[in-house]
Amino acid sequence: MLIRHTLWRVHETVGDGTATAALLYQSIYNDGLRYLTAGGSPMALRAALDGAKHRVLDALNAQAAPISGQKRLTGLARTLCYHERMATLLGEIFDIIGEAGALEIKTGNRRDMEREYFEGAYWDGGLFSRTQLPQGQTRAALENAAILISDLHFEEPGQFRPLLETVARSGAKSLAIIAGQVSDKAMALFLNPKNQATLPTLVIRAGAVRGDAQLDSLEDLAALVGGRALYQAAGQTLNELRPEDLGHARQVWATRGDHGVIGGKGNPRALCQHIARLRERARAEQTAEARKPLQARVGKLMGGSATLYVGADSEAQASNNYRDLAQRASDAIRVALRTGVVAGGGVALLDCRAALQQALNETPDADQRAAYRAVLRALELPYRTILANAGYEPSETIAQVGNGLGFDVERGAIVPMIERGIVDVAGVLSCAVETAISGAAIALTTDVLIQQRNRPEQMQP
Amino acid sequence: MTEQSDGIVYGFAATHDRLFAACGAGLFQSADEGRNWTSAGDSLPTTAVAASPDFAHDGTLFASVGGMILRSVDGGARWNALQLAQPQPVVGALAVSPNYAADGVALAATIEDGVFRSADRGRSWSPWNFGLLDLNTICLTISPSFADDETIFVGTESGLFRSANGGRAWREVVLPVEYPAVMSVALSPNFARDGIGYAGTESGELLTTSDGGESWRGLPVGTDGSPISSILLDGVAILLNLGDALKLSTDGGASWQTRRTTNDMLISALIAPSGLSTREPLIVGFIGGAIRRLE
Repeated sequence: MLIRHTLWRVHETVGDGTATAALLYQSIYNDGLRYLTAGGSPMALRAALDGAKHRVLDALNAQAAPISGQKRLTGLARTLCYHERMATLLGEIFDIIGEAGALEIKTGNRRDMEREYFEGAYWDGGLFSRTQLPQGQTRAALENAAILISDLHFEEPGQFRPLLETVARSGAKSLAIIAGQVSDKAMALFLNPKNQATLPTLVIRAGAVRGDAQLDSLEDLAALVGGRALYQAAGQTLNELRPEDLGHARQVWATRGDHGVIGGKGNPRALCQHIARLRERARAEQTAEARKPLQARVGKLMGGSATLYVGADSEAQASNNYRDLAQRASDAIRVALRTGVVAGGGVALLDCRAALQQALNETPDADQRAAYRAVLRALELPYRTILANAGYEPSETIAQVGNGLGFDVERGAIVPMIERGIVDVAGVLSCAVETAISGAAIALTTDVLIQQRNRPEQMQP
Repeated sequence: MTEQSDGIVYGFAATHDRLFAACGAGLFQSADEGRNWTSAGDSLPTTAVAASPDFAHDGTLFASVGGMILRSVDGGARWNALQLAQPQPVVGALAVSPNYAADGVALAATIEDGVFRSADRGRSWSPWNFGLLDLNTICLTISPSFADDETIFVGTESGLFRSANGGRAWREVVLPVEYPAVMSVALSPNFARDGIGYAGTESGELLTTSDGGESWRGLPVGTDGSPISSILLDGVAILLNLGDALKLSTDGGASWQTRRTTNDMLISALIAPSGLSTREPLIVGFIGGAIRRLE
């Protein structure tokens, strides 16, 4: 369970790197166990492993190179998903949306994969009435609209009176009402063609999801379009509405399921600060589960979003295999954009050995020497495993690789790995190293472990 | 000096044989280095003009009028109008890729709707505002080595944004001044090698970078807070437009000398078609519509 939890932690944090973490963990644990059986001190070994971990992480950080550009991102995606079309699309998408951009991965209707870009931001929650859609169209839009941002409930048409008076005073020529509930009776006010001619209005449901997510979307919308969100739970009504409470946008659009804005007229400085706060909160979150909704909110506010439609021969294949694959690859690309890339194929870990070897040479402490040796041996293992799995003898080349040069198993030659696009994501590798060494250190100081009876024969990082 | 009937001189464009001026009274051209100006055919308020770097061969000009971008491929004799997306944006700046002959990229910065991009020689334009958090764009500058670095800077009402992928996506640039309105950006002709650029703000700060726009620092100019609405570079010479005066440095910004052009007219645009040498003319456009050639 301990190793399973360790690997799950890697997957949760960065979405990839579990095989590397498993290899490192297993090797360090086995070497450590031998040392402890021979009489070594568990706690001293654990402290020494912690020291070794920091040296390796520093060495990895020093190797990290930023990645940008469609070609290099496509190359990275290729190493993550081994699917040419998916890699091409992910490379293009991330070149455009960047680290924080919003990407939705959906099952497509076709066998091929496709992508679509949306300008502006959009949220769940569509029109209350389909009769608000123009004849024969699936989308309604308003230009230069005033926007009421709320989750308020409206039962009577008269409740809208303060709003309509405020809009008239503000001089706005069209109105989008975001609301929690609007009764049919209240809705009739806006379905009247005469009223629509006087003040074109869209009445839109405030987010399909209730609770905190709905409040978050209203808060984000207010940051984007200006104005102030009014909340039912706070007992707010339209009676205290002021013109400055209304948001404004160059365009508001809505379908039956979604609504969005293009060219929000909120204060850009306030928007930048709002995004900075969301980013700060995302960074402070410990788990991917808590971090992802915040990242998604940042992505939506960045001015556009992308959708990758994953198609396959069958819906099951698309849903179960390709969507997961695309999601894992996109998670890792985001980490790469944030943390950079290092030489792939196990070379970056080999290049961390120098720092550790120096520390080994300098320390007379037996526990530290045992820990450094265990980690040194483990750092070679991903390289050895990749070559062995490809049918090559690792010992023949291991002395010739390093300093960014590695063995390209497809070409059967030693090549500059980053230049050839054979890279690992620095953040993924760091997470794998950190989690594997920490996990092995904990396991070595734990009395009882439940071990899987049939261990896998081979793993590939 | 040429007096237009009304409006403002928004900007200039220089080709191998002509100068163009986008003015409130329309588009004007001069074939004698700014001494005399004639109408270039359009009398609608023209807010920006840009010429292809390969103008001698392709004759391509772009100009903006209302919610449209006009394109000419015969040196301004005939124009095609391209309507931008609704609601109609007002274009404040146009720029053409230095690699236009190969990539066909042109960009338009709009006052409320961000940046529009064309990659088909201006036949179609689409908004490309991923990461551009402020759509109130003021100025637009393309890297001289665009073919290699695909770098573009856009100044907005709340800061400076940079694209490293030809304008398909934007990232906010961290500046030493918090959220300034960036009125002007100029990049060194050797930007790929020296990474030098300058940005002028509405409150008169001059910011400079020497690492390709990654980091910026303030450069003392001794202004009275007047907006720096345009910057011209020529080697180590820097010329700033402060509205009622020009500031010139011939030593890379270490020292500055002020030159007042007139007592009552504010400068809205300027261009130095042959560089900033004292022997070469400077063409200055004013709020009010006048264009003056300074010897």
